[in-house]
Amino acid sequence: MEMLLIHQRNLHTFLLTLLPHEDDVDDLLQQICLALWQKKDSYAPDRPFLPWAYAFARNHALKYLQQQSRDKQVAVFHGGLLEQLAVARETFDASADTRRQALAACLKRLRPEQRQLLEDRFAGTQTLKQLAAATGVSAASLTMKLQRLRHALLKCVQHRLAREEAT
Amino acid sequence: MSVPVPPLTAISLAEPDADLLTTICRVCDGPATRADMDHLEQLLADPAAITLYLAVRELDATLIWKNRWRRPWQPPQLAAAAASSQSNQPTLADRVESAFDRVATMFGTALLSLGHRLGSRAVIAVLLTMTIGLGMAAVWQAGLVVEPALRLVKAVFERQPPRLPGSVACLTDLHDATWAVTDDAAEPPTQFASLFPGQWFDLEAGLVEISFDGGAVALVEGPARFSITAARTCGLEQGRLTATLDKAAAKSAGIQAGFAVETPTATVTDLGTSFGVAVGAAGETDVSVFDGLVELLPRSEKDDAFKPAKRLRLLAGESAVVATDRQARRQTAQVDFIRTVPGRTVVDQQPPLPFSWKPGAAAIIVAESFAGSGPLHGSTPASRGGTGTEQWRAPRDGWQYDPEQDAVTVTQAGSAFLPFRPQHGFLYRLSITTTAPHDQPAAVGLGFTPTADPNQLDIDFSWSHDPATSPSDASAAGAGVSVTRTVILDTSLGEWRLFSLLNNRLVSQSVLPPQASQIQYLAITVSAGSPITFHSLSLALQKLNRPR
Repeated sequence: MEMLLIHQRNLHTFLLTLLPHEDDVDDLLQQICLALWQKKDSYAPDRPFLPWAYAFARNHALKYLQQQSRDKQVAVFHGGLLEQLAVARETFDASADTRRQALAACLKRLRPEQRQLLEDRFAGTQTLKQLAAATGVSAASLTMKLQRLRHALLKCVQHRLAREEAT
Repeated sequence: MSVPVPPLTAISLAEPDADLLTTICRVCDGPATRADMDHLEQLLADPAAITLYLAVRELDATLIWKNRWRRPWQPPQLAAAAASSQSNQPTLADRVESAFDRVATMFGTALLSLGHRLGSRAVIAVLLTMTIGLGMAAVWQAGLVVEPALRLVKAVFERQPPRLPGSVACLTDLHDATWAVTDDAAEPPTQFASLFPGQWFDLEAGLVEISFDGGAVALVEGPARFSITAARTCGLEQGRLTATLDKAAAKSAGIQAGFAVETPTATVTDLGTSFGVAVGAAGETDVSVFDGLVELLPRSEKDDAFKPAKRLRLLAGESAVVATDRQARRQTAQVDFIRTVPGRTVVDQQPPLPFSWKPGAAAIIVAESFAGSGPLHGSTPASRGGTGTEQWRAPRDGWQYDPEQDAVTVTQAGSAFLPFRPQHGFLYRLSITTTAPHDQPAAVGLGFTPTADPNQLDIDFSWSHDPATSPSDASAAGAGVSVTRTVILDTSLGEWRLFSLLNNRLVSQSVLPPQASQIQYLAITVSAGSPITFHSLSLALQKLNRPR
């Protein structure tokens, strides 16, 4: 089951695609890893690991989201779209390593304050509102900044991928 | 259901659908409303929109994975194995010795030669840094530990993992520590682990040392169950803990100091001291004060709130207990606490400066922010009230000031010299404050020297290197945190003395040889493997008549 240790990150990305609320993802990932571990005997080593794990994670996530939607009235994706996103994510996964490498290079090109903003946003220690207050801007302005940064990074990744494909 | 999702390279990102990107980001940054989700669902009917959504989520996932702490899940037996391996942790003394060996190997004869010179000149403290500029393996952190008894220079190079964002404390040492395997099979913490608010630990046996960002250093003795609550608070459900908080040192290092231990029956607040807390099986809390002052506040049984009227203030040597009846009573007996990590022989305590530096009374000789346009990009430093005539002797193109970012980029590592001749009878304080970026390891040193020869710096008696910020220089600086290095030259006595400080904390002092009076320059050096951009870089030289 070292595959489970190796692929935790893939599972994390998979879950984040299905669950827009990132704070839920960590807990769910722990639960799923433990459940996969307990079910390890049902895994046939000659089969690819990730599709098996994704199928399991998808079912687990669906149940979780149904419960969230019912108990806490949290807005979640509808079931049909969740299925569609799960399949799409799996396909998208095949080229994830190349994109991550490109992203690492693109992140280095950001200005220090831009990197800092991303670190603060994704460290998960403050809400967007708190972060906005701490940096002296409005929440709307911060959201826009983050949107521009995401856009710039994706353009940079795309550019690098295209260049690599060309060569 | 199979969805033909185009690859990222096949969708248009030059001008994406603004509504789509905005909606995706709103949902990702949250909190998303039902209307946001519905709208996004409509937009995701387009396969290209799904690609954009997947790419944004993958980007977010990468950044979360990189920046957010999480306990990696581990199968139960791995967690148990990791726990048992804790008992083989080397002591700090072992690590110092081993680090010193590594340094000696790395610097080879140069270090030995330097050591001889240091010995003969009775200079006790030179912080050696670098290796990055020399093309050697990256060294994550460099620091100096002085053994006052032997007056030997020792350098400690540790490969420490970086302190992770959001953490409030660091597990700085373990001694024969074994952790209980918890239900969630989480990985037990190892040395230099970042610790986060909300983490609970079951220490079965041994000792662990935790350094809190609020300045306190706690030693927990197993068996104990404790939690990290915040930078200035921890919880102790059961077991023994001693804590030391040097408020003056913390203040001089710019730390807002404070520490409190919360137990099931009381809160013990440190008012600048060292003390011990022991919590028994029923939650009863024994407090013993070793030094300074501690406040003991019983917790009310009814509403779990505190009763300020019942608080006790305890002085050094005093002891009290809050039993399960939530009453605080003084007692004569003190619990027997372990107060130091066994085997720790290296002392890194801060001796006091033999004088007080009064900033208000000091005259500024040089103030330099490297924002000019000449060599070192301050053609003449803003010295002597802006009327300086001396110029830096340095590579012309090595320093670039970017006014837009208000940052200095050093493209050519090396040394720079500014003519300066100290006179007898003064205290000279040379300091440099740097904020280095997270991902660019570098070393900065400063000091006084008789020659403007960079090759002579390592052997100069008055030269002092300090570790610079690096991605993992957690104890000295932390990523992106401002660091101040200071060298104070005391020429007021017959023999000149040099004091080196890091963040206003004295790390070494030495008596200089007679030829120190031949000092002709102040110097700074930067060592980095590649161009490095300092978010801020400023240098000051001040002069003060030594207070008598």
